[in-house]
Amino acid sequence: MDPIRESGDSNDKALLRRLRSFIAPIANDASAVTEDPHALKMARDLSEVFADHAGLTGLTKAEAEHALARLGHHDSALFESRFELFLRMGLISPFLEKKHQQRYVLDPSGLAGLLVFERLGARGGVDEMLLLLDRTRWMIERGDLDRAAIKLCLNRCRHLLSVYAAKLARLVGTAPISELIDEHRNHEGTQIEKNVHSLNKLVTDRFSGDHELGDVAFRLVEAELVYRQQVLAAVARVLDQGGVTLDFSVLTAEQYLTAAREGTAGELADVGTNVVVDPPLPWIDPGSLQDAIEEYRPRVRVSVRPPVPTAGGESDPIGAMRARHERVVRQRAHRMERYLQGRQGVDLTDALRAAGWPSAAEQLMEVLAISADPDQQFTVELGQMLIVDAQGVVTYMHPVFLQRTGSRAGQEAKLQPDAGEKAGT
Amino acid sequence: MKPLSDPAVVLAALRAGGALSASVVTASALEEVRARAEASGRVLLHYAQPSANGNGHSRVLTLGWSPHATPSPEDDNAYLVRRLTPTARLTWACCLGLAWPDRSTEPHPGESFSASLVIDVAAELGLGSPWVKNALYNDLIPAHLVEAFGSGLRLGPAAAAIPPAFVEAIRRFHDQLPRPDQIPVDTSTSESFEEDPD
Repeated sequence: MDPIRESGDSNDKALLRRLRSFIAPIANDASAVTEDPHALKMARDLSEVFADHAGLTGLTKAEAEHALARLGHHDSALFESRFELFLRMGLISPFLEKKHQQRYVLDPSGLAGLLVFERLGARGGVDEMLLLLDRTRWMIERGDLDRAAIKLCLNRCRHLLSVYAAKLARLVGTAPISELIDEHRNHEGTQIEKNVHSLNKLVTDRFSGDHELGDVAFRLVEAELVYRQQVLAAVARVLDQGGVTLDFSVLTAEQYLTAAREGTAGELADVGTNVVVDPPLPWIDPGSLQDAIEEYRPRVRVSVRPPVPTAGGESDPIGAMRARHERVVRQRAHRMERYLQGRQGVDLTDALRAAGWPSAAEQLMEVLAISADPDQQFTVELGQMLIVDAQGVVTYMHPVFLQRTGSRAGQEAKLQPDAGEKAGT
Repeated sequence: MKPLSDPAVVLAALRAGGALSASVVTASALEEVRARAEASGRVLLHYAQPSANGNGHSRVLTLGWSPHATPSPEDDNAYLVRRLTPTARLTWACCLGLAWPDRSTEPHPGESFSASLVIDVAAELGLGSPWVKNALYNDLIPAHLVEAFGSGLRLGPAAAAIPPAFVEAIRRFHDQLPRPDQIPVDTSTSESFEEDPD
């Protein structure tokens, strides 16, 4: 698999995981955020396609799909489902709010939402904390906030700092070092310290006689102190543990690449000096153990009885043979009737000689067979005279006379296949 | 035998053999080994092991995982790990079921058991004797999950190092671990374990 694409997918998966807590306050149910990173990529690329389009009247659905195909999206089912969803949720809207509109435009809020999500995914929301501190200070300086609003903003800043400090403390105590490093990269202790102290100074200067606001601002400084301690604790653990253990996840792939390009041969040779490699012992987690117990089925070859044939699935062979015989007899009787043409007897000699070979022999056998059948009312008489024709197709034969022995009506009744049944009913 | 005083040698012995008798390590080396193990996300574990002649217990060292460094390859599939085959895992479940009859206790050191009993229990599940022997002697014993004990077997040092969270998870399906029919599962302890202390 393409490592860049794989890395992008895993980043998007992490982003989607983080967004769940972001979306939770306004979610309808637990599936409000997709788990498919391809869906996020499609949303990103679709927004890009719409934003890149130079025209002011938007794109048709086919044009959007075609443009996405150029960006590597070939899953039309995914496109259809996401397009419909984006349409319903307003990320994309028809150019005119009328029925059967073919052109669609992108809603700027959706594009801004994507930017927010990406920033949130990349920075874990720390930017929002900086933004709130900055905006609070700026609005106090401009005099846009009344006392209650200032208190609310200061408390919100403190809450954010406390929650981030608690999260960092938990990660410092329990998280793998790679997770701690990822989290620590988002935090800017120095910048936040600077912003909190300037905000505290501003509040105490502006509201020097307001002890309640002064107290709220002081508690903000206290929260920042706890937060900064946890940031430093995270750094300490990364340096202590990461340095000693030679944990390769301490540095990013790009930093390793830079080290490989810029490090001297001696420095690079020293990297593995203290590396210890354990033998690859098997990993058994409880889940796989339980799966083995529940899912194991011995490979036993058991002879299975063939399925019982269904009653109507196969015809009776004896019955079929009998029906076939009756059909042949009926066909022969019809043929005799054609020879007779309603008469009681007919000379077949010329007809057989004219039939050629081997048809003459086949027809003669038919005639002899029906003559031998006691159920049929036909008889054949062969003449004594021998007709020899050295030049003809049939070189020699005796005269053949076909005669009806019963009445024609009785014979015709026999020729009807369901005659007996009709008589019975 | 001269006690080991070099922490690096002690760590190497622990890694290679899975366990080491504490009596062969000096106290100063032991402290240094503990510090180095903790710095690398491992913890030095001690456990008491019954001696083969039945006279008392010996103190044994092994390496476990510290809680924040326990790998979780089953969650994120970020890296490949060696996994046992289904038959080896089932054989391991049989060993665990035989060595750990009472779920209110810790699985390690547990009770000793014989290879023939493992084979019998596995046979009841439809696992053939050659597969069980192969799993025991080529997978579980080299991985230190099971070790020879006199003429029988017992859980090995890797079983002592199973993270506590994993032990708790296995405890939840303790009654599903394969056992011979004549060994009853102690349901009274099961119920008392699930009781809310409040």
